[in-house]
This record gives sequence, C-alpha cells and structure tokens, in this order.
Amino acid sequence: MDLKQLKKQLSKDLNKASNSKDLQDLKIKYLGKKGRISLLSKDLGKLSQSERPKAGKAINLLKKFFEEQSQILSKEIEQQEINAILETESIDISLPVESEKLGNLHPITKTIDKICQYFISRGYSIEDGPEIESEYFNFDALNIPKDHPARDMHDTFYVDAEMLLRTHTSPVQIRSILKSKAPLKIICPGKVYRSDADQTHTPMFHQIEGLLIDEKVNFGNLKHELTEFLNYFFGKKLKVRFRPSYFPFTEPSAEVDIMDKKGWLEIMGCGMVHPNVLKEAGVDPKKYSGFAFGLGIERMTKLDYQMDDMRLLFENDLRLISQS
Amino acid sequence: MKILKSHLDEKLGKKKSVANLSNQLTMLGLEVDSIAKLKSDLCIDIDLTPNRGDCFSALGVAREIAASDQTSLKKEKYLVKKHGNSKTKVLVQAKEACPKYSYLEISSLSLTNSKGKVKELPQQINSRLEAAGINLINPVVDILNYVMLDIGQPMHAFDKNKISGDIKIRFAKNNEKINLLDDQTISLSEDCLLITDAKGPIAFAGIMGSKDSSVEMDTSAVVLESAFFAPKFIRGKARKFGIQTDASQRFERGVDFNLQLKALEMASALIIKYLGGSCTKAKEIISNSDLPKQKKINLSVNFLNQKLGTKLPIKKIKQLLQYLDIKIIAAQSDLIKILTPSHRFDLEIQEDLVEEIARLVGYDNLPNRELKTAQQNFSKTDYSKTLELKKFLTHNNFQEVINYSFIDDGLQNELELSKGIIKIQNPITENLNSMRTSLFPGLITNLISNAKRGNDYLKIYEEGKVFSKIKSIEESNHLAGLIFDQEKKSWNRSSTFDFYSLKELVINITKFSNVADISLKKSSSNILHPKISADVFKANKKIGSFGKVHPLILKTINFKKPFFYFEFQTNELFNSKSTKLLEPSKFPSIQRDLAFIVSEKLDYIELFKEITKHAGKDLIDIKLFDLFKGGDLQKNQKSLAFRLTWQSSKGTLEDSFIDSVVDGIVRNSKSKFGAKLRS
Repeated sequence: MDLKQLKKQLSKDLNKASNSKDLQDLKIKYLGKKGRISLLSKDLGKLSQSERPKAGKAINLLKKFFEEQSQILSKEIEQQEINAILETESIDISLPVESEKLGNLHPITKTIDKICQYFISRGYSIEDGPEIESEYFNFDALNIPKDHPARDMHDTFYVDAEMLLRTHTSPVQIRSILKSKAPLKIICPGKVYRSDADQTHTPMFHQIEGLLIDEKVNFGNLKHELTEFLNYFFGKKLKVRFRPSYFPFTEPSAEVDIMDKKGWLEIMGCGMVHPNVLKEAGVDPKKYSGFAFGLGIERMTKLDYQMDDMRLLFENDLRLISQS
Repeated sequence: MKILKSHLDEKLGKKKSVANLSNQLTMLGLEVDSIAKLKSDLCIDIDLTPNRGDCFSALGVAREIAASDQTSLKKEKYLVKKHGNSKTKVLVQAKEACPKYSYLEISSLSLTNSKGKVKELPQQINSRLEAAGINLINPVVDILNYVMLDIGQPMHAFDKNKISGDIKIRFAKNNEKINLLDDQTISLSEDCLLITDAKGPIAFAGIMGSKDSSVEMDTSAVVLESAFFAPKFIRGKARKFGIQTDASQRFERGVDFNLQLKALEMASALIIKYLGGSCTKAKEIISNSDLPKQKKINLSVNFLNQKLGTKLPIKKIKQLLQYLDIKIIAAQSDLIKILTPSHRFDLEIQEDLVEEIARLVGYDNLPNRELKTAQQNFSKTDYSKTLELKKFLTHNNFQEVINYSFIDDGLQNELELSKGIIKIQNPITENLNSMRTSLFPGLITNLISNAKRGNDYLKIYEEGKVFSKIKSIEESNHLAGLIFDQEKKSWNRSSTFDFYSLKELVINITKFSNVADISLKKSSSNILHPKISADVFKANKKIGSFGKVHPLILKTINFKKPFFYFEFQTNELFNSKSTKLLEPSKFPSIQRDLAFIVSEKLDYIELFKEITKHAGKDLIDIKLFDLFKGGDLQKNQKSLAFRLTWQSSKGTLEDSFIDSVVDGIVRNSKSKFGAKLRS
C-alpha cells in the first residue's frame, strides 16, 4: 500500500477515535508488533540499497505524524473524560452544614492564663496550695494574729475550729517559701472564699498571688514589674498609680490604680514582704527582701470583657460563657 | 469615716483648697471614697485601713494633711473651772485591760431649759455629727460623741444618780448579763470587760453602756468616763455580739493613750457651756506598766534607701519624720534613733518608718527600677498540664464551666455523694453549706438550667477541687464532663452521642495524656448506669469512670432525658512520659481478615484477648471492622470480623508463617469459646 493512502487511512481512524480505549487500539493497529507501520519498516530490508534511505525517511515521517496526532488526541480525550467525571460528581455546595458548637475555656480560665503566661515568660513558676487552709497559714503566718482588725476585712468560712476556706491566695506565699527557700519567683492562681454576695462580690472568687524574693529587691522593682505587667494585660501604655495602703503581710503596702475613662480604678494590692512573714517562713530578712502582689481575677475579667455583673460568671449560662 | 471639710479647715487653721484634697488624702493612704456637697459644706468619705486608728477623728486626718503640707496644726485649748474632787470611787481590777481610767463629775447640769424643752447645741456640732452618720441622742451624749469625732477619744457618761456605790472595772463572770442601751440583753463570757457598780454591770467597756445607767432628759449629774482600754481586750468582742459601735471601732484599733485628760477637759467645757453645772477635778487611775509604750526604733538611712531605691539624705528623712510627730532622739552617720508618738500604734519596726517616708515623699515620686534577678529554672508545672487537658476538651467541643466549690448538702445526700462530706459552719446560704465531693452536682445543675432555656445539646466540663474528710481533710483535683444530646440532627448527620462516642473520647483523653497501662472494667459508681458504664484503671489504680447516668439519678433530679458523664482524677492524666520517636519499619506489612461466629453473650474483649494472645509479637494492629447479628446467623449468635495487621522491624514476614499464626488463633478461639470461622 502506498504511504499516502496509509496516511489517509490513519487520519480517518484517528478522527473516529473517541476514548482512550480507541486510541490504544489504534496504537496497536499501527505501531504494535504487527502494526501497519511496523510492518512497513520490516519490509525495508527488501528494498535496494539506494531506495532504502528515502523509504525509511518517509516511514519515519509517517510514524512521527501518527505519534503527534495521537498525542494531541490523547490530551483531548483526557480532557473530555475529566469533564465527564466532573459533570457526574457535581454537588450542591450551598446546602447548610451544622457545625458543632466550638468549645471554649471559661473567661476566668482565659484571664488566669493571660496573666500566667506573662509571669511564666518572666521566669516565675506556678504554685498551688490547698483551698481548705489552716488558720495558721491563712492568718497567723501572714502577720494577722487572732482578733487583728484585718481579720474583719475577711469574712471567713470555717469548716471547723482551726480549718477554714482560704480567704486569699497569700498562704501559698508561706508554703512556697517553706518548700523552695529563697531566692524565689512564684505566682499562684486559685479559688478563694469570703462570705460576701452582691453585684461585685461572689462567695467564691479567684485571685493570683505573686511573690518574688531575692537579695536587694526594692520598692522601685515592684513598681516597675507591676507597671509593665499592667501595660501587657491591657495592651497599651497605661497611667498607673501606686498609693499607700495596708496589708499586715507587707510593709510598705500599696494599692495599684490605673486611669480609666471614669477615673482611677483600683486593680491590685501589693507591697514589700513584711520581715515577720520572712522570719516565719525561715528566711533571713537581713539577707533577703521581696515583694508580693495579689489581684482579683474577676475584676480583671470584667475589665477585659467589659461586663458588669460578676455573679454571671458562675451561673454558667452557655449563651454567656461560650462567647469569650 | 465621714468628715466635713470645714471641720478639717478648723483644725488646720486655714481653708484648704478642694482641688487636690481627694488626691492628697488618697496618696497618703487615706483613700477618699467620695467628696459630696452637703449644704454649704463638703462631706469627705474616707476609707480607713485598720492600722490607722489614729486617723479616726478630724484631728487625726488633719494631722496627716499638715504633715504632708509640712505645716503644723492650730492649737486648741479648753478652760474649765474645777471645784473639788469627785466623790465617786473607782477601782480598777482588770489593769491589763484598762491601764488608764480618767473621770470627773459634773453636777447641777440640765438638759432642758426652764420651759422643759431640750437645750440645743450649736448647729456646727450637730451637722458635724450628722455628716459622720452619728445619730443625735441628747445634748450630753452628743457632746461626748463630738469629742470623739473631733479628737478621737470615745467617752461615756453615767447618770450619777442611777449608779450606786463604787465603780469597779473587772472582767465579766461567765454568762453574766447586761442590758445594753439599745435594750438588748447579752450574755457575756469571762474575756469581756465590764464597768460595774454595787448592783452590777453599768457598761460593756469600750463598746456600749447599760440602759439603766444612761443619761436621759432629766439627768442632773453625770460621771464622765475617758479611758484607755487595751485594743486586744476590745477586739473581736463587738463583732462577736454584732454590736459595732463608734467607740468599739476606735478602741480596737487603738486610741492615743495620752488623750484622756484632754478629752475630759474638752467635754466638760462644752457641757458646762451649753448645759450648765459645775465639775470636779479629773481623777486618773493609771497602771503605767500596762500602758503601751512609745517605741524606740533605729532607722538606718542606708536600709531605707535600699528598700525604696532612693538616695534620700539623712537631713531630709529627719525632717519628714518630725512632721509626723516622730521624735528624733539621736542621729549619727547612718542611724536615726526615734520615738514614736503615742497616737501611732502601727509603728513598730524599721520597715514601718520606711513606709512613712515613702508616703510623705509620695509613692508616685519613688523611682521605677527594672529588676535584674536570675531567671529561675522550672519544669512543666501541674498548671500547664491541666491547661493542656482543658484545651484538649475544648478542641473536642466541650465548653468549660466553673461552679462554686460549696453546694447544698441535701443534693449531695440525694445523689449519694455524701461520703466524707465537709460542712461549712457558717455558710452564706443553706444551699451552699457543704464542700463538693464530686463535680457531678455542679454539672447537672448546669445541665438543668441550660436545658430549661431550650438547650438540647450540651457538652460541658469542669476542672477543680473536690473535698472530703475521712480521716483527715483531703482535696484533689478532678476533671469531669457531661454530655447531653437530644438534638434533632441535621440532614447530613445522623448519629447521636452514645456510650461508644464517650468511650472514644475517654480513650482519646488517655492517649492524649500518654497514660500507659489503661484498662476498663465494669463501673462500681452509683451515679452511673450499671450496664452502660466503665471504670478506668491505670495499672491497678482506679483513675476515673464514665458512662450513662443512672436512671435513678434522673428520677432524683426530675430530669426526663438521659445523658452521659465522666470524671477523672486530674493528676492521673498528667503526661509525664518523655516521648521517644520510633523509627517506622522498612518492611512490608501483611493483613488478614478473620470473621468469627460466637455466642451473643460473649464480650468482645474476651475474644480480643484470645486473638492477641496468639497473634505473636509482630501484630501491630487489630481492628473490629464488622459486628453482625441476624441474617443467616442463629438467634443467639453474632459475628465479629477482625482485620489483623502484622509487620516486623527485622525482616519481611512470610505468608506461610502468618498462616500458621492464624491457624493458632482459630484453633484456640474455637476451643475456648467455640468460635467458628465464618466462610
């Protein structure tokens, strides 16, 4: 058969091929072991020396032509087949999905962690202490002897004659010093209890206590440390005020206020650890000094989340607490 | 304490500008709660800290302002003519509680005028008392209250004609009764101090007088008492009997022990001026050894500057101390020896003086100094491990809740959670009267309240302490969750939360926590459904339980729909292992599927144990991929289909080897459970 006719036949076949199977069959028909083009190549040997190059070249051209054409066709077919798949796999992406409500940490937990992360990064370690505490650790060891007027500031829940629900996280100060000795950098978040209930008081609430003891710690260090912390917590440079106050376990003592839209706002209490407290915990006040601070988590949470009624934090209405 | 600005101005001898007054007092440590207009005056409300009893008067507050302004107070003097000595005899038995008892008598006074109307005190006195929240009673009592408000000495007047015999100051007998001014009778204990006459108690010393000896409109002679009662004998008494008075508040914080005569002078001068009469000389019974002492304190300038981070010179410090009426006894190089004033009970050690200097310099004027301490080394704390667990649950769509640690003991009893319950002796309300022994009551309370609002799907958890007392008080942290799923599912989701969803969660928690050697056993918990629950064991220790809540509980709490619960001991879930990364095997794995027909009653775990026991050490995975009942099976049968995967880290496993392993599994399962291989 002459090559021209073969090429015509081949083009016709390619035109008819509509899927990858057809194409595969054609490949076998023309280029397979016994394919039409393969056979022509085998016949080349029968030709004379002089005819052979020309005929060989023509066969190669035809072969190349077939390969090029089938390549093009192959791509077209592939595309068509993918299009067909896509057509059958189409879905209605506008249908609604009800995603499960995401879980959330309680706002109090978030506030505690926001504070803890800061102090962890400053090298403080986190300590814990019992919530049912002895009178000794809650009061006496903190320089608050029996009938001290400061006990009036703590409306204490008692479980028996000596044990009470801790009224502040400060007992952890003593426990930590006894455990780890000076120098020391700790904070202690936790629940505390006082018999008080109104819009701004709940009988259980949370505090974070901080304590740093080292050589030559001074009041300026305390001011710096807490000012930096408050700037961090509120995410801006704040106007901060330290004013004299009274805690039996610190001397000098201070309240820390920040300037709010409405004026000064009390944020936390602090002071230099009272030498009696250091002595009680077995630390030499001549060698070491330190500062302590305590802040109410609910108050910080209220400020951070702009809410008014503290009691709502413990009602656990999911509509409220899942927002944080 | 509330005080009128004009009263302070009078003490200062000048009109103080209002502009900075609030800030000045607050920065001195006398926190101003408010300054409110009161007629043409201003009423200043100061929140006094308990250490500053000396500021419980106009004099005390003015003294602070003067020190801060570096000026002195206006001098005041009251002159009274005295006639003779008091005929009343006073015997102080309880000297340690009453180191000083000063008194005088005024006779021929009259509270009413000739027309029988009550004599009026000047408006200034009345308005100052009213602003301070002190009720007007009668002119004698009002004058005594005014002296207290003005200089800080609480006083008392007895109607001389109503007391009989000598006055004796002694401790009460046990259960001794006194009928107080406010007409309530209280029964005292032996640590209560009394003023008595021949008939019995005439005053609960430092707190309140008796009704029988009180001054009334027809009183014509009085004995005025101006005493120093030692704070520690007054403290706690008023609170104990629920009768805080203006006097008790001052005595328990400490009254200047050099003030008694001055107070008598002032009171008698005012009484005679406004109510007539004549007075005797004042008499004082003093036990010097029981009186507080003015304290000597050594202050090191170096110490002070080191504490404050300042460089204040000695001259400046001395000056500031003197403005506070602190007497300098001696000063040389670094050391200042001082004597505290008799009105300051809060100055005892060097640090107290450091605070005094800091107050006068102004906390705001003290420098801020960056702290350079060595960073401490610390390992991962329980805090962060707990937080990781909490976050794991929130990522599993649980909402964290926080409940009170105290709850109703009735509820704990009903739920049979009252073992070792710790009761609060003075609960704020009866439904918060016991410490929780489990997180369960709190979570079901949250379920009930949220379900009432129409919530039909709830996944909540709490992490916190539970408390009990068996031998001693124990508190331990628990992690508990509650799942309530009654939601109508949407078009693309059908499965409702069930026991197996909970089991998956619980296993994931233990996997997340990397807890080794976990096993499950039928639960012994009485809050869980006995058939649909399990206890979680770590080795041989029970660390938690989970399951469907017992139908009896639903009845108890009157909740109609079922829900699920789990509770763990938090610290048993702490991830303490350090993870070692294992190199994956390079060799191919082999899988076989085996379906067994067994009795329906046979627990999965039994067959599972038997299979794994004989599957060899190279078994890396076993999965139950089908559970089938019915069909061609007999009624009491079920089919369990397992896919087993083997892989060795040492070489390629031969088919023939696995065949022999499978043979062993099949043989043993058959002989033990009669398990037939399903074809």
